[in-house]
Order: sequence, then C-alpha cells, then structure tokens
Amino acid sequence: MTVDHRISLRSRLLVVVAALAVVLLGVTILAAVVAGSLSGAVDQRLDVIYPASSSLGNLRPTVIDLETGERGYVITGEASFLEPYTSGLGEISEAFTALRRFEGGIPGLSAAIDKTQADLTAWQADHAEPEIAAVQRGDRAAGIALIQAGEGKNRFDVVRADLDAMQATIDQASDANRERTQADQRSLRNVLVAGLVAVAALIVVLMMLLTRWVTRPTSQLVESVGVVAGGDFREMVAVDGPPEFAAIGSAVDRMRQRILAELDELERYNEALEQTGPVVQSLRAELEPQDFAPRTGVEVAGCVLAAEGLLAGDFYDLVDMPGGRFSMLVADVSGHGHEAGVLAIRFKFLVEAALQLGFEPSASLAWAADRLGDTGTMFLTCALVVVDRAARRVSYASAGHSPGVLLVGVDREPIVLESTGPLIGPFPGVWRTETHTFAEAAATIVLCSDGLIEARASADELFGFERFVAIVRDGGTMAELVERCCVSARDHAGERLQDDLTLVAVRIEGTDQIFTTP
Amino acid sequence: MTADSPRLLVSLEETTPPVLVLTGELDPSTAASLDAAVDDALRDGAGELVIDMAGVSFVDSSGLRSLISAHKRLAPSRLQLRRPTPFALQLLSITGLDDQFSIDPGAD
Repeated sequence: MTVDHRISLRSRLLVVVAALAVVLLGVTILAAVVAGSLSGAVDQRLDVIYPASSSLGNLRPTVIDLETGERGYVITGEASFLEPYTSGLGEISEAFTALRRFEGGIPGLSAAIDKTQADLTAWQADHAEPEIAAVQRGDRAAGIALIQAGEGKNRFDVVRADLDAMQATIDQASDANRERTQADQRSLRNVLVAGLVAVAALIVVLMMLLTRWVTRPTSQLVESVGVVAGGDFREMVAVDGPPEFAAIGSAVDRMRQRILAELDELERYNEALEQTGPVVQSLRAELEPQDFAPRTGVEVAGCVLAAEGLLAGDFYDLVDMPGGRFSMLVADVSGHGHEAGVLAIRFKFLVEAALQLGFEPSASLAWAADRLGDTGTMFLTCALVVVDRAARRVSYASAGHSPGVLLVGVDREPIVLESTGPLIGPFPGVWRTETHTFAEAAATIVLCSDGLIEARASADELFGFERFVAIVRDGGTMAELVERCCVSARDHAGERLQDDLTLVAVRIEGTDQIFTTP
Repeated sequence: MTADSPRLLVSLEETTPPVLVLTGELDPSTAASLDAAVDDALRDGAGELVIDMAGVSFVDSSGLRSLISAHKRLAPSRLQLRRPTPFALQLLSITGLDDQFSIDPGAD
C-alpha cells in the first residue's frame, strides 16, 4: 500500500479505525435487521398461527356436533338430542369471533371464515331449521323425509370442506412461517460469519499497516540512534515513515550534526592544547607550593582550584625563613591564563626571595612590588603572614587582599586580617605590618583568595566572609577545613566556580600540646 | 550610545565630563563592555570621565582591571567614580584603589 508520506500517522490511523468502525456498524445493522425479521416470524408463530390453529381445533367438533344433534333429534324426536344444536350455535359464534382476531396475520383466512360462516348459515336456514320445525309441529315423518332426501347432508359436507380449507390455510401459513424462520436463521448466521471475517481481515490489515507505519520506522530509528550512541557520528540518521517519525529522525540527525561540529571544534581545541600544554604545565609547576618540611606542632593544608583550564592566577606557598620562622602567603593575580600566570610567577619569586632574606611582611611586599614595577592594568593582591613560633607571634601584611582569619585558642573571637595597603602593580604603594601574639594558646591562620568570599549563586548572594569564618571556627584538621571551604563554595555557586579559589591554612598547637607530642 | 552585554547595561551621558552610567555586574563576562564604552567616551579626546556605579551590584578583579585601565588612560587626570555601592566601596577600600580614584559618594 503506497501512502503519501505527508499524511500524518494520526490521520492514517484515523482512516483505518474509521474503516473498522464502518464494517462493525454495517455488520451490526444487518444483524439487527435479520434478527428483527426472525423475531417477527417467531412472534407470528406464537401469537397468530398457534392460537388460530387451536381455535379452529375447538370449532370443528362443535360444528360436527351441531349437525349430529340436529339429525338425532329429527330421527328420534328426543328433545335431549337437540341440546348440542342449541348450545353449539352460541359456541360456534364465539369461535368464529376468536378466529377473526387472527385473520390479519394469516393470508386467506378471512375469506375462508366468511365462506364457512355463510355455508353454515345456509345449511342452518335451508335444512336444519325446517327439519327441526317439522318435528316440533308433530310431523316427524316429514322431518325424516327431508333428511332422507340427502340435500341437508350434502350442504353440511360443504361446511366440512370449508373447515378443512380453513385448516389448510392455517397450515400453509405455518409452513411459510417455518420457511421464513429458517431463512432468517441462515441469514443471521451468514451475516455474523461475514462480519467476523471482515473484522478479522481488517485487523490483519491494521497489523500490517502498524508494522509498516510504526514498528519498522521505530526499529529504523532505534538502529540509527544506536549507531550514533555507539560513537559513529558520521552515520546519517534518516527515517522512512510517517511525518512524526521523519521529524524525530530529522531532530536526532540535527543533534548528531551539532555533536559532530562540537567534536570537530573540540578536536581543534585539543590540537591547540597539545601545542600550548607543555608551556601551561611548566607555568603551573612553577606556581606549585614549595616542599614545606613538617615540623612538630604545625599542621598545614592548602588548595588551588582554577576557574579556567589548568592555570590559575592564584597561588599559595609556605616558605622557610631565617631564625626558625616560616611564612604563608596567598596571592591573586587579576585575570586568568598564561599572562596572569607569568605575573604570578614573577611575583612569587620576588616575594619569596625577600622572605628568605628575612624581611618582614610589609617590607617583603614593598621589595617585590618595587622590582615588579608598573604592570599596566594587571595587578595582584597578596596576604602574607610570618609565623615566629618561638616568640608565639604572627605578623602579617596584606596588599589589597581578601581578609584572612586568625583564631587564637578555641573560645576567642577570630581576628580578621584585613588589608594593610593597596594592591600591587599599577600604582606605587606603602604597606604596613601588623602583629598578634598568641602566647601558650593554639593559633589557626587561614588565608584565602576572593574566589572563596565572592563565590556566588547570584549577585546578591555571595558566599561571604561570615560563612568562611564559621567554617574556620568549626575546627577539625587543616585538611578538613580546606576541604569544607572548597565543597561549601562549590555548593554555594551551584555550578562551575567563576573565579580561582585558593586557600592555605596553618595551625600552631598550644605550647602544652607541643610538649606532649612524642 | 551604549555598549551592553546581557548582564551589564552601559549608557553614556554626553555631558562635560562625560558620564558612563552602569547597571548590572562587573565581572569577567561584562568587563569588555565597560572597556568598549570607555573607548567610545574618550574617542573625542575627553580628558575626564565619570563612571556612575550606583547600579553596579557586583564587582570583581576583572571589573577593577577595567577601572584601572580607564584611570590610566585619563592620566594625569583621575577617574571619578560616582555613587559606588557599599560592596564596590568596600572592594575599592580593601585594594587601596580609593586612594587612586576620585570617589564621589553622591548627594546622600
């Protein structure tokens, strides 16, 4: 069956279902008509033919008794013989009335009744009544002579023949009714069988069409999509079938083409990355924190999450200094990528050189900034803490950097390590050093980049400094603290971080705990 | 004349000095819009520039870099920032840029 491909599956199914409905409706109407005819025939048999036959059965002996009684009375002169005659006249009248109720349902019955009644009336008037009258006036011989003449008997034989004719008429109607009933039964059976065959044929056709219109295009689509899902994006997805399936196939093919285009683009990116990757890897390696020798009573942890690619503009480090001191710093270079990475490396080498020379925080920043010179529009911020465990003292300076936290002991309010001078690069600046002591208590120092504080789900909902401080106060190991900060910032942002996120945390145990450490 | 991105609306009031009115967020995805608007505003040789930041809800280092760029182009004049939001003002204070730019907190 060839169908215009522009006709929708819905329209096709509607046509098939409509055809099925028409066939079912036709079969139902035909069956109803035949069943109606059959019912009419049964009604005729039960309501007309059987009662008419019964009424005739009652009429016949009464009529015979009428003639027998009349003749017996005339021959014997006994009045008792006349009783069937006198009583039979009334019964015969009622029987004819009963028969006439069925004359409309049996062809010829009305005429047969008319003739029988007329012949009976004539016999009664011309023969029965004169013979009875002769006996009643005492001339029984005259009555017997009339009987012996045989004319009355001949007239009554006509009545007998009329009764037989009526019976024949009813029998004929009965035979016709039987034939009609049987014909109707055959017709009904034929209609039902033909209907079932037609419906079955239509269902077979419907199944064939569904296979062609639904099953085959679906299998074709599944096969084509499977090929694409298997990674063969060069295989075109095309579906031959109703417009709905063609549209799905077309949409999947557009998706395939888009994926193909993106894969091509990704391939070009990968090729570019292969060319620049070693450079980026080298820059990244230079920004990794130094090996920081573990020391009793000091716990450290840090992390860098780059917002774009491999190379963040942020870095942190821990630097050994003369006199048993060490320093921790976090720096954040504006922008991302290799340009920011190069500036970060230049600053890192400079500031760490200053620290290794033993400079205090502000002097280290100034020394590095002076040698960095004017960086144009690029800039960096840096938080720098020098820890002197022997003196139980931290000193810090911050070049326009996000605030850090110093937590002394457990119960005390955290000390906010705020900016102590401008950012570094575009403008000359002056920085100051601030100092805090923590005596015998433990001290926790956490520095972060603005990627943590400014991680945001929207402009009005920054991660914020308060959340940062709350995490610091929750305690735990430094690794746990750093991990909690990173996870919380990511959860808060809801998607990829918009800025690099860098953290470094240091905990210096209280003096009593240091002494108890093996 | 405007140079908009979906998250930052920039309009230029051609007064003397010209005023760039910003509405939205100054971040890596919108900073280029501000750079382009500054280019347009300074094309006629204007030696001064005012940036109205009352409508700026968020600024990060990319936005600061655009402001520094504008400031350096205006040298020896100073970039004037009008009505910065508390968030922007805090950022300028932390980074020390409030000493570089001319800050006009506005009438109130």
